[in-house]
Amino acid sequence: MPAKTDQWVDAVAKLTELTQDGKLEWNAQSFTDNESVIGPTYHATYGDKRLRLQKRGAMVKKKAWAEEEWTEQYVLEFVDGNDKTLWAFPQIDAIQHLYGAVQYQTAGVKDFLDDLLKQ
Amino acid sequence: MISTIWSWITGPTFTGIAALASVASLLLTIWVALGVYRLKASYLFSARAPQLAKQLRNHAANLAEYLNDFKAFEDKIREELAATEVTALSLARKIDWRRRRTVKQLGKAIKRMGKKQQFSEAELREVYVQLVKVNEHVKDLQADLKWER
Repeated sequence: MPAKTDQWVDAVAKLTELTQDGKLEWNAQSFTDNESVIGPTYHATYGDKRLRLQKRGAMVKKKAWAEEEWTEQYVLEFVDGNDKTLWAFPQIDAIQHLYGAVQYQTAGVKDFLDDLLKQ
Repeated sequence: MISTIWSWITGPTFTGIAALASVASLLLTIWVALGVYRLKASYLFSARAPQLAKQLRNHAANLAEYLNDFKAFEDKIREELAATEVTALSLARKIDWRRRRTVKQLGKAIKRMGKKQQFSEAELREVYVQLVKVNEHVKDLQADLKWER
């Protein structure tokens, strides 16, 4: 297994853990000028790095003879103060899991369940 | 004439050549056998891997979701781990031998957790990370196979 991929998996899994433990807070932003973005864009700051997490979709022709098909991908990037991409994480499944954890956190699902089940 | 041929056949030169030929044919047999084994493994992996890989990816996604609230999902986590173990061990039998160890280790780690009455969130997280790594590994292998065809 490529050691580099392991490293990215460890890094993104750590961000997921911090998110699930409530140690990394994400803010949801509904507006974006990028048409391929589906749903909100999430931002968080870790150390001096500003992170941006998005779900993007596009019609992609995977093979020359095949028809275009809808493809979704989850993108985790470092961005600057003007929200311009500085660097993007490689495409790994762990980013989709992070996206799920961020949605769970920002939507306040845990608090909702705790409150509801206490009554 | 016949006695000359006979003495050459029984002589040290011919015996040496024959011995070398035997060794060469043994090596060739081993090489062919390994080739057939690798071909068989490659076809088995091509046929079954996409489905097993998809299942493993679903298991990882579910475990990640359950880690959002470890206590609330404890029962579901046990069920998911049991299913993940079966998929991982099934994949381990079909994957390339060089990478089999990683998948087997994942299956064994899950088995050890399953035997415990209780396990911690940290232990589950370790298995989750190992599972995601295996998934990336399998994706990599599948991409390699596309080029080998």
